[in-house]
Amino acid sequence: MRIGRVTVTLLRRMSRVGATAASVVLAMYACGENIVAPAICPEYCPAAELVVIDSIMPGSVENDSSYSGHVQPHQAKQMQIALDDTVVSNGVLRFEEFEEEIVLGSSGLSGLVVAVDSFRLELLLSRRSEASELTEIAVHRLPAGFDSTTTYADLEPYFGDTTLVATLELPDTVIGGTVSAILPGDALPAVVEDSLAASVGLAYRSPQAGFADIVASDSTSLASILIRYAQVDSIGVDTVPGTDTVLVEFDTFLFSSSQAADVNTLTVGGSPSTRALIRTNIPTQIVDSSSVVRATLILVPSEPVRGVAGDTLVIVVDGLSTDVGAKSPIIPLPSEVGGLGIVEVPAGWSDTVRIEVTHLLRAWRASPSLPRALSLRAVPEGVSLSQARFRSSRSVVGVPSLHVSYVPPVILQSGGGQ
Amino acid sequence: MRLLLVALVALATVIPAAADAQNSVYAVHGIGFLGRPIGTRSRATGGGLAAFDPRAALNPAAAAGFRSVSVTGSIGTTMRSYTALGASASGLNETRVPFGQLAGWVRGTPVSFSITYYPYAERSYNLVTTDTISIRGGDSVEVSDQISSDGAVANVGGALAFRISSRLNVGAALHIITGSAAAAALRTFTSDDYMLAAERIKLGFNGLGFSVGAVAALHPRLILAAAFRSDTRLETIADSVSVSRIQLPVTASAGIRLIPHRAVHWATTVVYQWWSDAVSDLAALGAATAFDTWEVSSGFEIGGAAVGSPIPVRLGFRYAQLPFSPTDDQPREIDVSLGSGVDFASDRAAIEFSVERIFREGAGADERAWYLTLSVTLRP
Repeated sequence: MRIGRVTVTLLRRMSRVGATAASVVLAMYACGENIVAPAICPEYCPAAELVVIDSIMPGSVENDSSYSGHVQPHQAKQMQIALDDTVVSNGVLRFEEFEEEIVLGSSGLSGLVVAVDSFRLELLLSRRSEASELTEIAVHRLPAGFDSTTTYADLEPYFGDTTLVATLELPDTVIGGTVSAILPGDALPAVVEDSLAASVGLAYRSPQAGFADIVASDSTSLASILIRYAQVDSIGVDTVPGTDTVLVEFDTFLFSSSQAADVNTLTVGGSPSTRALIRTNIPTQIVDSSSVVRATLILVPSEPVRGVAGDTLVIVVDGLSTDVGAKSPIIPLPSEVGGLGIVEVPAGWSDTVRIEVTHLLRAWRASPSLPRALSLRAVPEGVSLSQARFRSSRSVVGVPSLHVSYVPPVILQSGGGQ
Repeated sequence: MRLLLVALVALATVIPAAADAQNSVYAVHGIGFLGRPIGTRSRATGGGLAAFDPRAALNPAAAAGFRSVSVTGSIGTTMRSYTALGASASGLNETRVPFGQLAGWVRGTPVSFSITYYPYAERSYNLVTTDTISIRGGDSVEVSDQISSDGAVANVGGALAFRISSRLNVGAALHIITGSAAAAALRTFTSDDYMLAAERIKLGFNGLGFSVGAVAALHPRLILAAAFRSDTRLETIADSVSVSRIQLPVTASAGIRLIPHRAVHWATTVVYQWWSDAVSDLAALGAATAFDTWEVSSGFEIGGAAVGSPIPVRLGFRYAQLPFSPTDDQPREIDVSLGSGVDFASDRAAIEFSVERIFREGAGADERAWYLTLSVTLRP
């Protein structure tokens, strides 16, 4: 009887240890899970089926239009000087006034300028057309009185040989950065004789059509500067050399052809810059209920893309936070969408242009309050003569359309099999 | 040790997110893979004790067996593999909560109560396939599809049992059928030109059931039990909209328990469910068809604390038909089970476990599974 009781006690203790160990092992094992298995459809799949539907919707664009003047030439961050068979574009710069005296060294003392030896004009080149060995920028002396209302024709007479004060060579090794030219001391007589202000014009010269984009004063980057090398009156000696620098007070670029938008087309780019506004009427069951996996905006040019040979127009498609017409605020392209919503079109391009806008249609589903409209603009905006004109929804043929690939809603609530 | 027990009970009873059942390749069909309204003890007997076991929700009259307050929580782990229509999967495993219970009696009265949780149907799966599709006029793109569901239809039941006499107990229960599942369908493209297609939806389930039952001791060594349950339609709600209603079955069950020796219990439980009532509702959804089901479970319990044996041995066998099938071939399963348990702390706590080996086949699939269950009961 005693042996039996001891045995029972021993078994009870062993079972406690075993049960505890089993509990711990099972609890540890419970941390893992693997239920991923191959789908065997349709028999051992849910009734849900993922299908991609393709649809090209010519009637998905409506009430489209173009609005010009978002960035005026004098507001642009760059100015394009160019020469082509159809267009000439010149840059004009008015610098701040020089002082009558120049500060000498670090002493803080200054002396009166008695003679100007020379000037150094420095330009920040951001981009240029493919290099030609004979390309140069001609620097002309201009009168001071020009502003944003001045036209190409107003200043064209000042771009002759008599006003040429320097040439700035652009060898094919120069594709950007600072370039400079030395102007003689008498090249800018207004500085010496009159207002102490200098104005210059820049003309693109090359045996081939081309362009150069120069950083303008509206850019955050340091734009063009003018350095004066002068003889300065100094006590005790006759003169000593001195230098000072002035920044651009006003700059713009003037061109020979009109860049105005055509109301019957969707115009993008140019200067003053033009944006196209496209409103869509995609069926709600696609935008609101389906998963759009790819959406492409298809635009047919009404004429070859305008612009100087070698230039490229970069078009960006933005969404709108609200649709109030020409001044609709855009939602800038987020960086995470990668190459979506942007396309590069070379001057002279006449083929169909396709722009991926998948991110916008998906944003519309996520934020139903957003207007289902698109804005097309050039980037950087207003800096180039390049301009695209596409057929609008009012055209007889080649109307804008959307090519949408989407997965319709999947029925997930019911069991599977067939 | 006490801390461990409390922790295990808390793990098993407080975490509703893991409150699903044993899984199967058949879980994609119908309303899911059906759970079992039984605790670990009954599982170890193959389900043979289900009609009599207080720690089960099949027969509300069985709750009359409670003479003190107790809390039971359990976890169950499935390890399985299968072949189906030429494809195979192995190494699948998941751990869920198959049963939980709070029970007791109203002191000084013949009334006992039981609140139970068990998964009515498991709705968890994660199916992946790859393919190459042609879109946009011949653009050949490789895609990977993933259709998944994570959740369960759950049953929370409240039962009252009455000891009419020393030989007769009766009971009734109200069952609230609830639960949710996060369903998703994803299509990813290998090409960067295409973005992910994702459809995600949270499904909620609503339904009610009512059951009655009785346990009668015709003789101290011969006990019979019977129960009847009727459920409403199972309503599925997505985004606050009712998207489907599937008729749940009427269930009839009966059991016999023989005690040839005070240390030997043999019990058999038979369950019949009229799942064919759901055929038209499932057909309207384009889903699998349904069949009525038989389930026969039988098992032994040998020894136990009541007869001075610290470690009872439980053995069982079960044959069951499965209700949902993608073809005219009704799937079925056979389980063999083994288990035991041990009491702690002057019988104020107990740990029980069961091990089941399960064979399922039918409708082109052949599945093998191990199912391990561990439960902890506290009697404060």
